[in-house]
Amino acid sequence: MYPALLKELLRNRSALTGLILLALVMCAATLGHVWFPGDPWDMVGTPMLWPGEDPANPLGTDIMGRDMATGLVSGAKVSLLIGLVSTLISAVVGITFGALGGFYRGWIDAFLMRVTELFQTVPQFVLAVVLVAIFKPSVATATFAIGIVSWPPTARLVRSEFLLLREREFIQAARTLGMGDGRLILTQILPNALPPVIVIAALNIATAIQTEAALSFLGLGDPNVMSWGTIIGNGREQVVDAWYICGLPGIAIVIIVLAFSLLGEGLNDTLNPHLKER
Amino acid sequence: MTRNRIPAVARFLRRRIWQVVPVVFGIALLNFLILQLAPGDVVDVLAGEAGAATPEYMAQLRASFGLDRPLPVQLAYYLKNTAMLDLGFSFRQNMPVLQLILERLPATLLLMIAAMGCAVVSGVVLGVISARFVHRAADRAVSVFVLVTYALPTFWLGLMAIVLFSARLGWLPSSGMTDIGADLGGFEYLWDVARHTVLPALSLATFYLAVYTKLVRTAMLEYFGADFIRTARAKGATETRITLFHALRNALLPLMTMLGLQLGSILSGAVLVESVFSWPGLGRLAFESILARDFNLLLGILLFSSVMVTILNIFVDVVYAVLDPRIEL
Amino acid sequence: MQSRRFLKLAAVLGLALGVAASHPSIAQTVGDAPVRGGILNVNIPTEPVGLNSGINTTMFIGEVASKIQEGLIAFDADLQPVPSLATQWEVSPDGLTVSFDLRKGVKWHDGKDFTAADVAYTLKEVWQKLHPFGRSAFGNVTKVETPNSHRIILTLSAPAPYLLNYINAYGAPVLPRHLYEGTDVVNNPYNQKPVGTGPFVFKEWVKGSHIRLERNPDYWKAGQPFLDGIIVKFIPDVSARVVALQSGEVDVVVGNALPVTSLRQFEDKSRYTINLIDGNYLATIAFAQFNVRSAPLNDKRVRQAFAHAVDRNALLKVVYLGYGKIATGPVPSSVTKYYTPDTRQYAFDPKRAAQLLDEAGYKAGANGKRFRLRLIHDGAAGSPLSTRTAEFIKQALAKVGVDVELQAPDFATMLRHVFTDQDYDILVSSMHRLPDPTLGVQRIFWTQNIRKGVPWTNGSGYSNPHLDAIMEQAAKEPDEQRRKAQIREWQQIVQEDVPLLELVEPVWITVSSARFKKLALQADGLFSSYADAWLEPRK
Repeated sequence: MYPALLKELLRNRSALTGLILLALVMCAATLGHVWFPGDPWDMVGTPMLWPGEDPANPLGTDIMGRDMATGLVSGAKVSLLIGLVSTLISAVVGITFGALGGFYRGWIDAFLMRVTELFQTVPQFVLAVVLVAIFKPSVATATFAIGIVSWPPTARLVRSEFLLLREREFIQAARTLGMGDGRLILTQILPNALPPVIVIAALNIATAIQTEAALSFLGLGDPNVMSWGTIIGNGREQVVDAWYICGLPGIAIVIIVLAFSLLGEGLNDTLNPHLKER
Repeated sequence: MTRNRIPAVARFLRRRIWQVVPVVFGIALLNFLILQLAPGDVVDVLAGEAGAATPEYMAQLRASFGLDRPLPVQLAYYLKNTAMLDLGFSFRQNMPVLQLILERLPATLLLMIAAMGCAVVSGVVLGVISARFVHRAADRAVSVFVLVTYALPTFWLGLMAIVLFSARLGWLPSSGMTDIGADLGGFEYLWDVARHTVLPALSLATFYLAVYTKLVRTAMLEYFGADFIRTARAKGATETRITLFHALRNALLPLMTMLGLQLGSILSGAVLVESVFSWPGLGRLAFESILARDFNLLLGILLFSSVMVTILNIFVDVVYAVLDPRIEL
Repeated sequence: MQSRRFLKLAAVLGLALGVAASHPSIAQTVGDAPVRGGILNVNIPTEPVGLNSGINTTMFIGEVASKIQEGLIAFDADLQPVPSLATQWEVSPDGLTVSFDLRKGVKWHDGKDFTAADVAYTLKEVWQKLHPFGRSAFGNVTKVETPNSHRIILTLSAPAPYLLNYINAYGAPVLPRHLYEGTDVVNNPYNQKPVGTGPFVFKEWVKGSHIRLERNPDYWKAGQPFLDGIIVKFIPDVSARVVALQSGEVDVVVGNALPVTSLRQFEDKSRYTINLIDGNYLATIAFAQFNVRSAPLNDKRVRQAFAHAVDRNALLKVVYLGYGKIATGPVPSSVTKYYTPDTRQYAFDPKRAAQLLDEAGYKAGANGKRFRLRLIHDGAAGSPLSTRTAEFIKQALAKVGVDVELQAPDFATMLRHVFTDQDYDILVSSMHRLPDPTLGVQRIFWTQNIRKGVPWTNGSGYSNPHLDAIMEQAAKEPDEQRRKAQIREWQQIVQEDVPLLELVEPVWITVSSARFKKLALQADGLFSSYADAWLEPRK
């Protein structure tokens, strides 16, 4: 099933573009330090060199003479890491809530859905800011906070899938065969409910990366880690006369978000073929 | 047709409002407990900003703010006041929380309505173009355009817009909501506010544009295949008429639902856009209140926005049901 | 007298700050042909929380309230007191009596007469009880007498030589007794809509946007103020502030609201003025404070090693872009009366640093590392210079084998970590040292000021009984020469022990349109009343 799926995915224009962009970013994140070695915090050149002004710093330097290219490469790693891990957290929480609510219905469902509603009503970014500010800015708290504020859509989606699937014949059959609730959920229903979850996860990664950048921009980033948001936040002061310091990491964010959105769109076309013509 | 639905609407409202109460209560409780984990309080901030203080002065402030009482007592007071719709007092701003919120609300509402209006109108236009020319060049162009706008971080777009339109070209003002010194009246004042609103509203709108465009496109394509459109077509209606009157009207329903869902995120977007453009709204106030540990104010804003969002969503549900009789309340 | 005149000249030229050489933009604010009329648009970065500097000394409050309320005295460009609400003052030879003659014919903005009773009330009920610094500044005042409605005599339990160095509109604004007496001062509504005697009358405050002030037609100084009004705008975003000054949306940007990195856009003297002396009164020093309570920072040699490891010249150049001066000790050079450079200095010398660390027993391990420390800073609380300074120090200490983990929590968390939990290793921040060491410097080193839970006290935990005795003596020393000698020894002890590594004396930068002029510059120009300010017509 999977090779076929991959083949179809590669035939999908959106998915292919997304994957290519993603591969580029991954390359930068994993191999970038080969071309731009060193500590992104080291002050290596004249401050505020424009891109192309000095071949030693091809993308220029920031306000303290730190190499932009090295910083951007380091930022790629941070963004990917936070995007992926926080999405994993939100998927786990969302699936747990959605699965339990959809499977058991009744008061469990009512309670879980009230909690979901609650998290959906509170402004998410504000809550993320509160959480990061309280637990001290770091990669770990940012990841945790983004994960914790972004699970409700997943929970709702999983719940509605479970509500449909639990009535299906093969589930009823498994149930009459005496399969326990846990196995039923994990081995029978969940695998069938996953395709839309994967689509939403791809989009969540995109949002998470933007959220991380926004947090760093507000000064709530990890002070030991050079992320794209940190570079934008630091460059904000001189954005008028040296816009490239904010501009370049912004473009990097656009590329990575585009990659995941396109991938999500492609996955949607491939995994939910009945929606294909929309 | 609408008339006989009124009792149903009333029943629905009653049920929804009873569902809302625990959610609002939960929000108050959750926020209160989370904020208790925060190191430092408003007295630390006040003393820290003043540059000096004495332990006696700080103790005196804590006592007058009620921060020296045991936590359960503080919580009980807070919940009691919330139940009586009393949002309390901001110790840092020296003002009742409700008054602060109401002073800042118009600015955020203006930004929100301008941004949402912009996103909905362009979303509908682009969605219609997309659906009308599905799988053709225009469709693809629209789809690339909205994907890119979605990928642009709003705060970054705002910064870049300031660089280009305010600093380099000098076309539009970079900060605030009005030109304060100018003392403009009537039409000139409105024009001034409009000029100040353009950049922040557009920055905020980009984030929502993609969703609306896609939604309209999807819904319209669905309806193009529906029976009643086929009937209309058979009756000889022109394509334009079909697009505009039949398919579009039906596409607006899911749009409204999405709008309701996204209202909750507006305050989040406002935090960033308002700080970039110095917009005197609630988002900035919320952010400042977090850093200042002005928790009465922050709790007030969160509660206020939650209640607003909930009410608007109920409103959306009712409108939805009135527009589309097939929907059960 | 000769030296004083020279100083004045030097200060006006910006020489006193040592920045003139690298930065040709010097203060050219002073003019001599005032123009009547016009509204001045002033930008401050953050909205104040009230407008009463008597109970809250946050700078943003003082920057606005000083236009409305006045103090007994003001300061000129070299920090000498000049008359304001007091026309003259006298300190008895034993230092135990201070008397002020008050200006006659001054009216509050609501029309009531200003009298000695207002001063006596404010001193006893506000400065002594509620003012953050007031308890130390006015702590010795035991008796306040008002022999007539325009004379006030203070009796002190011990001499307080620092008193006259503090009482300007920002340090000790006089409040209207008739509006405050008998009320809860902290929650008095007039803290939000102040009534003062100053050149400008409070008009409106639109939260989140601006404060509007109007000309006081009955101001005591005939002909002043020149301006018809002032609008104070809050612009939280740095880049928006830059654009606002360039586009003419604001005329003056005070208190470092424009970052040093943006100043090169305002070097054109025909269009902009950069004033570097407005904050001399605050006498700010940026520092790295060590928590000396535990190893390895309890070892003097480790702290000295750190002092040798940080290249402060490079720090000044890279982070401050030259806007400032290397700090040589706890008293900044702008406090000319007491400053001495004759203290132990630590030249940039990584080898010496490594040697000192070795001596202290912290030899580098196989990976070249000696130990790991946490460095907390207030950068997230709106001081980008602290962020960059912290990043600079991290890189510098890495070179001598010390691993630094940066922490950038918000303001409240930082205060809790440092002053309540005392759970930190190094703090990077800055503090105002004020014109008198007893008020602004003693608090950092005094054993009795190690106060858990209170911000900006002795946070390093440093305790030296010998130094304590010297500081306590200097606080009540009426003889100026002896006091100077005591404060000199104090600086020498501190520089030997380095509980704080003093980094840079930053300047407070006011950038304005070249149309903005004043009759005289002030060392407390951040808190200038702007009575003598005007806007030249557009050319």
